[in-house]
Amino acid sequence: MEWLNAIFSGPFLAILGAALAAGCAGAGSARGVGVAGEAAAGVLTEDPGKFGQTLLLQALPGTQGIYGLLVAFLIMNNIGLFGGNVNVTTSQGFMYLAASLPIAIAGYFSGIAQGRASAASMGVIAKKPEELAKSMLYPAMVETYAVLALLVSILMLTNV
Amino acid sequence: MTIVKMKRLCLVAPSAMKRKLLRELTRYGCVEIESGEKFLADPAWTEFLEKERGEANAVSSQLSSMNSALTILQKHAPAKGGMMVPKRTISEADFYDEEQISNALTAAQKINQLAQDITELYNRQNQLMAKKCFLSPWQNTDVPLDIKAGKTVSLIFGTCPSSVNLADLQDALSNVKECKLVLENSDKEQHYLSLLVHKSVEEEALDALKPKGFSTVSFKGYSGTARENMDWIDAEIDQNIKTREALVANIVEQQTERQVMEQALDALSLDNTRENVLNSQLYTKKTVYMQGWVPEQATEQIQKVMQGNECAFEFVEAEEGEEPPVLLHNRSGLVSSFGSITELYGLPGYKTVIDPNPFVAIFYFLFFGLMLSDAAYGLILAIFGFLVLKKAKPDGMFKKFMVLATCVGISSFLWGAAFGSWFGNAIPTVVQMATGKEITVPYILDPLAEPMKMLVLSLGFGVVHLFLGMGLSGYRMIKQGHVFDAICDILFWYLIIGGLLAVLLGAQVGLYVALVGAVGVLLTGGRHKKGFGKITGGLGSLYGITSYLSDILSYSRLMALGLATGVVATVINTMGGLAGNGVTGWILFVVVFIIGQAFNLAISLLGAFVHTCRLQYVEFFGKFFEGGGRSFKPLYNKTKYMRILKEEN
Repeated sequence: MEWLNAIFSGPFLAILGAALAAGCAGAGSARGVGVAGEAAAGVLTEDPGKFGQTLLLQALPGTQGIYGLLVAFLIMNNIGLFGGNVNVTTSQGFMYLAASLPIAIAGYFSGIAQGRASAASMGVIAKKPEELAKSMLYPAMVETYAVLALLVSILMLTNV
Repeated sequence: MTIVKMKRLCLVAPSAMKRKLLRELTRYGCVEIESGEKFLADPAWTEFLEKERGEANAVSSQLSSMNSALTILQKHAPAKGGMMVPKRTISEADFYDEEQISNALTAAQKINQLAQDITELYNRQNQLMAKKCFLSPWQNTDVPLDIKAGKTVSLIFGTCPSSVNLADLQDALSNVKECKLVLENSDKEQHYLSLLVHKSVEEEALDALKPKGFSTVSFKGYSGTARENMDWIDAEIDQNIKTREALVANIVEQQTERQVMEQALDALSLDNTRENVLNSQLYTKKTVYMQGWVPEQATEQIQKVMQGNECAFEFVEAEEGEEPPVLLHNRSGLVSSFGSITELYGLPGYKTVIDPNPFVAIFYFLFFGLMLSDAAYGLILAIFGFLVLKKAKPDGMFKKFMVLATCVGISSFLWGAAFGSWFGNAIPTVVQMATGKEITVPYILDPLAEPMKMLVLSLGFGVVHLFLGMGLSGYRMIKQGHVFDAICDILFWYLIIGGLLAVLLGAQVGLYVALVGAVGVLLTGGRHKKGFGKITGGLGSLYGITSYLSDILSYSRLMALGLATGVVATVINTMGGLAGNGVTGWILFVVVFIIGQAFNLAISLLGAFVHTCRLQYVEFFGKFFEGGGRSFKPLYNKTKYMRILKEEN
């Protein structure tokens, strides 16, 4: 039953948490940025001068991936992965895993949803480029929930 | 009261004076002329108006010619300096100098003509390339393409798909004795063939070949062999490229005229704006009628202009139900720069009591810095903004944004210094790599070590911000005479939220305060409803506590985004330091550091901008802002390259 021990070892669970945080949030951002990029390319075919503005909108759903990276880094740092001396009990490992879940789940879904909002905002840029600030706010509303999840993840982590 | 009071201006001017009049009005930049089209539906007006209004706009085509010429010039001979070059100054008389403008138009026409020639040469080159492509399979055929093979014999060129076997073709021709099929060339797709045939059996031979996919090729218009043709095509393409280079050089030569052209572009675009205004006005045979808006304090100045131009005019108050355009008056340039954030959201209505800009300025400054929260990033931003302001001397919206960048850069620097964040933990990392010693940068609060303190700070700012927004709303209610509403909708909520906060901080008395507030809301919340609604309305209002709760929690983003900046910067430093203290280690560190920090700065700036705006727009403005204003758009010297000096007279 060596594999069972390996699975329920603290370090593995903590690293699994880091992997979920970076992986899920990153996947959400990738899909969001992708969807926004498709719409941006469409706007550009009409007016290549809007490259900068569309790029800003496309970058918005990218933050979830960064939040995921951030939480993953904090977990790796907390368990001492960079120092080479990992010392985590099984119960701590589960706690790290749990703490990674908010940003993993909210990051994945909000990344996609924010990407769709960004893509829709590209239409605003196409027709009324002067309303960039307003069009950026719709995707930003979605991001709120990723920010809240990040916050909860961080608060949990710092208290494990 | 900081929304400028507007007066309606009605004027009748002699048609002959209209251009001079508008030019002078533009100089002051404080008159907005409306379109007269709304009167055209009114028979009382149309009765004595001329049908033909204004002349065709000749300036517009000159403007577009100038625009395209400058774009072409920019493409072939880019101007140096970019955004760091200040606008040139010029007096108004020189600015509209007719001779200069006509010189510039000549230059523009020349450039446009050259560009057109270049396009034609490109088209010719494409044609030649296509011809060459068509001829090249035949280059080994050494008979002239236009050969007349004689009275009795025809020479026919043709192709068939490369899938067809050549022996099959010969077989098909086996019944036709007086012919010879020669393979000239083959490529992946086709065989290229020549068929020498006696005229009497020509059709027979072609019919035999047709089922095999043979089709004739016509060389109409060519003379000589394919090789000879390709040679002259090559020669012409060479010549074509040389001619084009010479034409481009001619265009580049015209850059001596660039400054004149830039000036003319500005002058023409201003003229064009005025012509468009004039085209939408109302004309009689000799006069023109215009309507517009003027800020009250500018009426005296404008009066002088009118008198100098033989106009009949009057200033009147805005009528009931008429919405004058909105111009915000700010004493300090700093506050008006932050006002651009308000303008991005939308202007307050004309009758608004509250000017949000001073509050926006304070909290935008605080929040942006808290979200960027890195001293080094702040310094970079502030220095960049300051340099642009100093060197390029921008004006308008661009200037406001640069002032804004400088301010929020300073704020980020202060917050970053308080958190001990300089490119994240770059300083300790570098010191440790170099000497192996561990040092700490001085700080007041380490957000990562004490996240609860940081969270309380963020939410605390949130409560202050929200209370201010509610207070402004209450102020407006009192100002409009609804004191009771202010008590019910604002004061009771102050009691509830303030009381609950006091409980959180450990003062039990807060509970009673909150209860008083809650009872107040419960009793008065349904006051505008009828019957049973008076009871349920109170409950519904009390349920609004959830929205206050979510508003306050929304400010936790102040902490989260600040942490994100710092931690990502730290991740970058850690990655850069992985290769240790060797030569390669340091090279890796520098490369990772520069790319990574630039990336983080860009992403964090975007995040800080968007989320600071959100807090202002959604949480703060949501409490009190009355929008719906239409911005005041006066005629003014809107220029791209020149700054026109004001002449006082």
